[in-house]
Amino acid sequence: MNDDLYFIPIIIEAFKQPDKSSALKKAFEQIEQLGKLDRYSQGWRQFCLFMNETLVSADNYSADQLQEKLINIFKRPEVFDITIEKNGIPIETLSFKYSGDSKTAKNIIPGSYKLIFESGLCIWQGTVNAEDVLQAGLKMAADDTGKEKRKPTKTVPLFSQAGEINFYASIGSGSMEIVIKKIRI
Amino acid sequence: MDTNNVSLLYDRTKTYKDLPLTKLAELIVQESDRAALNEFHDNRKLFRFGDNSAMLFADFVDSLCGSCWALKLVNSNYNLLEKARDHLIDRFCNLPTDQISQGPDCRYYFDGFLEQMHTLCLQKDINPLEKEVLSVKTLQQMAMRHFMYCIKESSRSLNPLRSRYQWHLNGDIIIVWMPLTITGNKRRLWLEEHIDDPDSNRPGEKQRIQQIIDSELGLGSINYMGDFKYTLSVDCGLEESQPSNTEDGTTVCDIAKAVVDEKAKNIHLMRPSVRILGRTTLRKLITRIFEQITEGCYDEKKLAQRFGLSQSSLTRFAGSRWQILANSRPPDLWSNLAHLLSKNGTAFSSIARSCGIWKKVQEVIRISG
Repeated sequence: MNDDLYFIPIIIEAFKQPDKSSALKKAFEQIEQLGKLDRYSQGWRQFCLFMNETLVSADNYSADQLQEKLINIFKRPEVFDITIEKNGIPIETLSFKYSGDSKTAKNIIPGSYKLIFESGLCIWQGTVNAEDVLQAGLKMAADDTGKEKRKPTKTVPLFSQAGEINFYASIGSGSMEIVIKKIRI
Repeated sequence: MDTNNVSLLYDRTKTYKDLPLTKLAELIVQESDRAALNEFHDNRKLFRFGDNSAMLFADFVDSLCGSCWALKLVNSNYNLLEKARDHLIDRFCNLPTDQISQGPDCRYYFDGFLEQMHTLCLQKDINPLEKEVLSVKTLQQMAMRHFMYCIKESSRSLNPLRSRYQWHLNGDIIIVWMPLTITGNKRRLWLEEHIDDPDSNRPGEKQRIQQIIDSELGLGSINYMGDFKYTLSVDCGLEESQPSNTEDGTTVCDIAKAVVDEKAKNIHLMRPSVRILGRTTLRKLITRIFEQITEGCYDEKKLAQRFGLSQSSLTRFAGSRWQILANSRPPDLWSNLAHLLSKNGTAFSSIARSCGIWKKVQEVIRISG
């Protein structure tokens, strides 16, 4: 039996039986049981897509409704990614919502960084220095005793006031908080 | 398009990857810059939908055309869908560099994008990041719009009862589709009589004229005599179908026979790579696929070789392993089997529902999102 298409011979066999309803019921049970085995896990998922196709096929839509459905499914969601590159190598990708968002990348060490919007456009590039992200041991110990809010070591504007980047220092490596203002489009 | 515009002053020492999308489009439109076009298609992941990550134009078009909804929109006409896909890709890829180049010119489409961006940016005071977000959104909407146009265009081009006509209008040309029954100069006379106030510069004028032609003259269709027996064999239902014998004497069951009949009947709707086999060979191929799957010895590579298909063509047609994504669909043959099962009157769907299968199916599809 072909593991990925294991459900097809089972369905075919059910259709050969005189009592098709009962045979199909047993067939579905068998497909589900086998689908729990590792060997047939891909086949089970394929069966699910296959069954979904029967559902889509059975629904009656007008051409206009189908067109609208297709446009909605392939509509761009209101999110975008920004990839952080260090010395030309991508190190992390963060997702942002149009409604305004902030995300923090940790383990930032000194080096040359770029922020790349998902279209490929570079929205910021610069050098992160040791004093931006690395903290001396003595100072860290002092800060740990207090409860006051962490303050950035440096804040830089992002791409003509589209947001800002805040750098925070810590021992060994620091962090970079990317703040994006609400996208007004 | 103003090819003499030198105001761009693109700094060639910078790499293309640093350029905003509108700048890339300007280079394509104004300088016919193939490297900018390559940058757009090879490196810019501008498109996204659902929970998917951003993707290249070609991957987006594949997802779009590979969706179950696109296939339903074209009434399971794989041939039409493939043609529409090719048209859409041509519109954004084809950059004619000389007079003899055929097909659409992507510069017109990128120019349309720039015009739309220009209008939108005039209406809003936006920062450069917002402009880039607006660019990718506008471009995706444009690709979707053109996909719908390409389906219409492909549908017309596949109709053997119609042909293109170039209507010369005050120095401009409007290309429309007209029935073959109206020939030569009569086409011009018909258009002059039926189209009020034609203006080649008016936006959407071509679509307006085509709509008038379609509504006045109809689209036309062909009923093939040879299809009749296949229609009967399918309409008689699965239970009455007889097992068919294949060349090596083995038999396939009723359901496979019904799929074989349906595919042979609708061979004109299939992808060109499979359609080229012809009805008889296609019947043999599908029968053999079902036999091998039932016997547990399905060998796609050997079967492709034996029937003179490329492996990728056979994979698209009846591959044994496919990607599970929400809104995607199985390969053509399995998709077709699913359609047949949902329509055969054996209450396949209701039995599946009573077994609790639907809930699990939806869960897997949702997770695969």
